[in-house]
Amino acid sequence: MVGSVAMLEPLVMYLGLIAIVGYALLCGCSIVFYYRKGRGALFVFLALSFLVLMMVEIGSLYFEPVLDLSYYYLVDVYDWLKFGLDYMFYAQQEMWLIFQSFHFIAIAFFGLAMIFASRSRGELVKEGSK
Amino acid sequence: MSFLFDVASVLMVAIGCGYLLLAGLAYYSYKNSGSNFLLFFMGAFTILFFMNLYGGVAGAYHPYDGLIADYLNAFGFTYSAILTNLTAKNLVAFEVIGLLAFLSFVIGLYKA
Repeated sequence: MVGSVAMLEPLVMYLGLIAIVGYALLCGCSIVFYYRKGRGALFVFLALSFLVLMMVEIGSLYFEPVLDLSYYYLVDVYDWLKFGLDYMFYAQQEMWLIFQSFHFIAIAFFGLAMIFASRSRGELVKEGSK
Repeated sequence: MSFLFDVASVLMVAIGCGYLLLAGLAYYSYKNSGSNFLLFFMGAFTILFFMNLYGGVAGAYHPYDGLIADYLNAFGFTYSAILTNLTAKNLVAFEVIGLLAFLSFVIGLYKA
């Protein structure tokens, strides 16, 4: 599985790593804002959303179902490897799909955060009003 | 050329639709509260919608299927190299769009 990350285009891998670190920072910032600014429900759900997105990015990068030129080379030279490599590809794809489906959890948390963004104690609030 | 929507492509388009709904919800909250940070979150959700739509459609797009496929398949290694390059370019574009959404989240959270 680690081999598949090494197979990725270096630029894709670095962009993925930046996204992972970025979402981790956003999660941390949300927790800090929760303690500093109050508005608990908004920042707690934002932190949870960014945490899930970070997990999705880690899983997607680790299980990215990429079969590069080395696959065709290896199958060409060692025909008996085809079954194992195909099995690995489909196993990676299954895991990748599971991690992608976590997006729906992030969407649910974001949805709750957006609802709580305009509400305080169950009532609609306007910016600037007390 | 043809489109072949497999499970991964359909899932990504569905995720994109989820983010589009979320953008609508953020706009609804903005109209209610007037908080400017919600506009940046709405922007981020819209970008995530386009990112997932792009990922789903680009993953389903097979430009070298069709009449010339048999000819290209005769040179199997070259054909796979073309597809690999195309996938890599799509992945780079996909990740760059994702980072734009991340920037919008940063600005939104800063203004919250």
